[in-house]
Amino acid sequence: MNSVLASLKWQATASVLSNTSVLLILTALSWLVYHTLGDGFLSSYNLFTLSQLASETLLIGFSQLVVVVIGRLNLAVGGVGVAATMATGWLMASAGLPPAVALPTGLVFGALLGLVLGAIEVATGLGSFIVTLAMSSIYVGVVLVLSGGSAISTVPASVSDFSNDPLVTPSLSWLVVPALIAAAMLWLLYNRSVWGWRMLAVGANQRAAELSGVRVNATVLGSFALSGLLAASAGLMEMSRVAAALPSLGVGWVLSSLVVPILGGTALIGGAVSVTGALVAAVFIESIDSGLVSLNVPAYWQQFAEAIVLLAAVMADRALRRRPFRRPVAPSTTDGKAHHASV
Amino acid sequence: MPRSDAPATTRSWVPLLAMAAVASAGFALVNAQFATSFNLYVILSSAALLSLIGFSQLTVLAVGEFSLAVGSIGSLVGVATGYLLVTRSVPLAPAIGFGLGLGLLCGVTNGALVAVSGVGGFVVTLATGGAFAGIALAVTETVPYTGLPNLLNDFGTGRLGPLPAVLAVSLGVALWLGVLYGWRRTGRTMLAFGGNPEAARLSGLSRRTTLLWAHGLSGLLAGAAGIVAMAQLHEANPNAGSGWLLQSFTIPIVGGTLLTGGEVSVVGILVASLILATISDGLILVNVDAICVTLVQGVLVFVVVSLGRSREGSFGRWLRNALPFMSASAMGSQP
Repeated sequence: MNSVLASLKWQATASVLSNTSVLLILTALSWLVYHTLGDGFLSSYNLFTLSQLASETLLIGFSQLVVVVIGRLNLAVGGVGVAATMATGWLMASAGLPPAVALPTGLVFGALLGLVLGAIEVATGLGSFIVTLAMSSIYVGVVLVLSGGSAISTVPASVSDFSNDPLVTPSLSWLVVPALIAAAMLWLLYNRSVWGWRMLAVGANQRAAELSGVRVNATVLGSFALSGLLAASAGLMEMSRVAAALPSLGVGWVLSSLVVPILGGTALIGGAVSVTGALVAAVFIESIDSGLVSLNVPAYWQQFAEAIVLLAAVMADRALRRRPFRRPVAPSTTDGKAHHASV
Repeated sequence: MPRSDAPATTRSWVPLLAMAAVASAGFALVNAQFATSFNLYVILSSAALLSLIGFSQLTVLAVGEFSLAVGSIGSLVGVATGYLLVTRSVPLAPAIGFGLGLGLLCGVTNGALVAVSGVGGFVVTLATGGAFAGIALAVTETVPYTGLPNLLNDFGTGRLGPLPAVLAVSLGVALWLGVLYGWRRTGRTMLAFGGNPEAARLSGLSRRTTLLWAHGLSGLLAGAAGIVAMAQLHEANPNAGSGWLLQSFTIPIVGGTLLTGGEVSVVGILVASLILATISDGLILVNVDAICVTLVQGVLVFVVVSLGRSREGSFGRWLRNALPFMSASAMGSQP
């Protein structure tokens, strides 16, 4: 068991280091391009918006990452996000609950919705792709039916101020705080806790993990609940930013939720994770958008340019990581690195 | 026979077909408009488009790949064809030929990127899909091309008796794919790859060719779906394919095509499209809110897949006992 976990840990660590540094260089280069060729990219207004969007994208990515780690997919991240956000909005606007009660309730509700996904997956054995695909349209459908498709726009000022007030400098939003807390918690989960290692073990080889005494079902349930919690957090962030709970929230989330872990170096087949990679990926992705604006790319061409940059990043990343010397021959080559020392 | 439940898997749509028949009878009782020849035409029209979307996903599922670019290729091909027809006044045949060629090119691009880079189709088509949809949006600036040639519009909404003309496209494609996967070397190679890539590679089959074929076919069929959608809507809309992602997976899943590759059911696609079209149509006729239709389709995926896959489960067994004719048809193909 120990050696299995140790080799898993080595595998995860190796992918973290190579990937994150490559992506960091790409991000720095892209910022240089946006700054020198465009105008206004480093203005505090632009950076403020960037910090808001990157924080939200990071949490959307995290909500996918935690299930990708165990070798599952969650196509219902948007569905959970919109359901939890609309429920929270309703609690504050119609039920009159204060944000201090409504927001935690919304998060718990999100975790429950995630738990339901995991429970159905475990109970039916249908595979997370199909389960979450179907549940996604069920969640979104129920939200649309209950809300009648109309937004809840009476969000308390204290909630919307949170994301629209600057943190220390006018270039940073307060949303960065919950995003970084989530990142720190996940980093600790996967690098310092036994639960995280169980999740990685299930993702790397479910059968082996099961035979080593990992309770696979409990791990799957926990991961999906965590995914729901993170999706709900992202939804609440968006509610705070736009000062309304919109039934259209979560529509494009599946794609961005997948892009963050993929670019960040979390293996889609499970078993390897990079929290810091996801962090850099979220900043990189959101930089593209505002970077294109500063480069004066016509609005209609932005989606195209964004996709091309993503494609190029994925390809470049793959090409760079293929270099043979990046592949350590033995776990000992990563000795002395922070994560490994903790075995 | 390595997979003992193979006949059950390929026929997972059988219980649903029974359910759809029951539902149709119910719809017909509640609403007199359901069982009319016009409504039959409406159902078959939407089933024809749905089946093309499903076929486009089926060809990549066959080799164990995914395509998230089905809808965006459909949109792009529709827009490009619409541009040629409306702005450039190109005759119909070359314009459609160009559109289909563009779809093929998009698909081959996906296949080439997957083959060369080693990045999975899921990730590649996630990115290229964004690019294709982006081009469609940028070229049109979100304004659809209208004023398409009458011949195309007539084809899109024309009827042969109670049958829509576009059904011919769908059936033609089904026949072609059926022959391809059943008897042609290329098709068998793709299935071999989907079933066991390593074994196929060791048998000397080319991974690169297989990927180009699978993604190329997918692009071509997505393009055909885009042109049919354009003909049905009487306009080339850059958002025509934006809602196809979910359906492109729902239809093969319901129809019994494995997501893991190696096994396809062409007839299953036709049946699944017909069922989804019937249920959506029936729900709208009995005045269920259009929003609810999405919800019901989600539930449906569950029901169907649970019935098809967990035939050993208690509910499956109960249903088999309750409906003996179903199990007969499923067991009938077992040796």
